[in-house]
Amino acid sequence: MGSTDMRITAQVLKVLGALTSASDEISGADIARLTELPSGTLYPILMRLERSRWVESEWEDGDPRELGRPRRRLYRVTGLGAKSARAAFQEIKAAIGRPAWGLS
Amino acid sequence: MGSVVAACCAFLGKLLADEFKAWFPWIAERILQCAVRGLPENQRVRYSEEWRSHLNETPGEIGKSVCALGFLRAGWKMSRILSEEASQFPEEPESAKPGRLQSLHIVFGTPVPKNDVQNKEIASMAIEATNSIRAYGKGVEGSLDVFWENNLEPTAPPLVRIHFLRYTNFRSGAQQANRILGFSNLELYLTEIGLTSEDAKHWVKRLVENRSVSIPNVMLPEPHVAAYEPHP
Repeated sequence: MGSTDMRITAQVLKVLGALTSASDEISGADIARLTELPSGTLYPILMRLERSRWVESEWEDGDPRELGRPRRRLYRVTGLGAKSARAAFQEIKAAIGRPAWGLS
Repeated sequence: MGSVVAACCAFLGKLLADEFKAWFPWIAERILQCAVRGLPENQRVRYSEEWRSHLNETPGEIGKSVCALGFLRAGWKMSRILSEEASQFPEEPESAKPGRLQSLHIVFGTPVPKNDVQNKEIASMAIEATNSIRAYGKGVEGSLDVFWENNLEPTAPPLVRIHFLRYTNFRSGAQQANRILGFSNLELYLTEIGLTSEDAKHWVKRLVENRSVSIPNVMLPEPHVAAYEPHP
């Protein structure tokens, strides 16, 4: 899967914004809190971002038995994600300034 | 007599509330399991733990149940995305992929250092772009059915007919079509409604090959939606 498969929507922008503005790797629950997106919307977006390699994730360190809770999956933006997001944001800004092209 | 009945009602009400409260974690867990079962087998272990951790961080029993219901929706959507992907891009073995792609992954797959200037810049761009979209209008999710109307006249300038079918609040009746002249204008239109230029190129190419395409999960800005409302 390549970055070409990533479609940018307002929700995707929110998720990218949360990921890039966080000072550390963050979990899905943190992203949900920051973006106020419901879990049903958030995880498909994270999966698409991950499959396009804009974002990657890994389990937090530690054993669930020692932690006393399930491990958190931590997300961060990749170099490709940062590069592609920057291009997409610029493209959106430029596209919004253009007129509609419909004939009827 | 009235006060005795009121006391009994209050007692029963509390009993029922406690009973429901005790059942909420069980219900949330069952919904989560159901959501995970909807995913492809190779994804189940991961999301089972990840979503359980998300539930663990969600406050309140009702909040947990609502969150678990969201996982049901997520599971269904993710499974649909993965199956669409599998039909469009059959998995290749790692060894069969060109070395170029692997090198790109090695170069760009490297995590961005935390707290770096580039990240802050992108975050501010994300906020700016989100605000631009908000100012432009809220998006309406749906699919775009695109048809090359005069495909039997290869020398004529291509005339493309587009129908937008919204996923929610779909009103029955004939939908008004939008027509665009020329593939380059179609490509511009697709980028205007939020597709990346690469995506737009991809769909135009598919249209030329197949004469018609259906573009799923399009977030059409509200000003554009009006063009596709049903005929009065």
